[in-house]
Amino acid sequence: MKTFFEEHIWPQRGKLYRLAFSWVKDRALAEDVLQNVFEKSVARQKELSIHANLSGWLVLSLKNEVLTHFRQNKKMDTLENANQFQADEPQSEEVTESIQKVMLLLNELPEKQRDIFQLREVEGLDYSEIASYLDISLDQVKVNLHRARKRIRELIINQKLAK
Amino acid sequence: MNARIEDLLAKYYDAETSLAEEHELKVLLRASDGFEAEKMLFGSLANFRKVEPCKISLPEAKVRKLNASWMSWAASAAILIGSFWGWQIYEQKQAEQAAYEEVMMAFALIQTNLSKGQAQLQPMNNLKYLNTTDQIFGQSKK
Repeated sequence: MKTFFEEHIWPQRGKLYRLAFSWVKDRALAEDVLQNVFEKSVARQKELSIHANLSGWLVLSLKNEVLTHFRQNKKMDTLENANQFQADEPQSEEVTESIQKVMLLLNELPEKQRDIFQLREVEGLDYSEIASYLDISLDQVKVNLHRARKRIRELIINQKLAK
Repeated sequence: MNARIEDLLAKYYDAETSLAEEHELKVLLRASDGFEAEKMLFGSLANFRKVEPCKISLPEAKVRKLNASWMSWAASAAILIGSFWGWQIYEQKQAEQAAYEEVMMAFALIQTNLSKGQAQLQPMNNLKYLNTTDQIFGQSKK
């Protein structure tokens, strides 16, 4: 018989990993922070099984784990400054051309727009699912997605995406 | 088809498309010429979705492991306490049995002495057939 973790949390590992990866720009580090969140989730399975917004809790825990890691290493204080981290750290060889383009694209967006854009465009979530994941209102999702796509259009017009 | 793509793209950039319309847009773009920037955008995003974690392992729920030496000490202590407790119960039962037997012996002794007393009082039963007390005790010699 599957545990609560195996049934409800483990299947979300892909989405959570890609979110973490877009924040930290490092595959190994993204896996480390996600593994830490999973360890904590297993220990708190009982509490999480009655949590009103499991996806929101997981994303928030992941974000806190990333911030804690960077604070401990004195790299940055918010995820907005992840670009600086990217410049300091060597790029992973595994990162393909497509992933690099997506990363460049996401770097052009503010943190909230970046998360919403990624959850919509990469993960294919609807507005209410995005609102749950990021624990924000539907209106915030719509407004930020509109702004994100507007910015993407500007980048396409200015041909920044092709660089 | 291009008109439909243009229309969907306009809605897409205004964030007014549904998931179904976005899917339709991607399908139409694949089948059409031009729109290279959009094709690259959606292609890159689709490729990004293929990125999966490789080294994440399913964490196991922590089971509290007991130290073997502590277990043996605990077992020894349990045996000792159990033995002491059993011995105490045995002692208590023995004391109760001894007290019971002592009481019964006392009762038996009382019963015996009572019987003796009753036998000695037998002459008193003849009192009713006598007319004078002298016949019982005899006359006192003057």
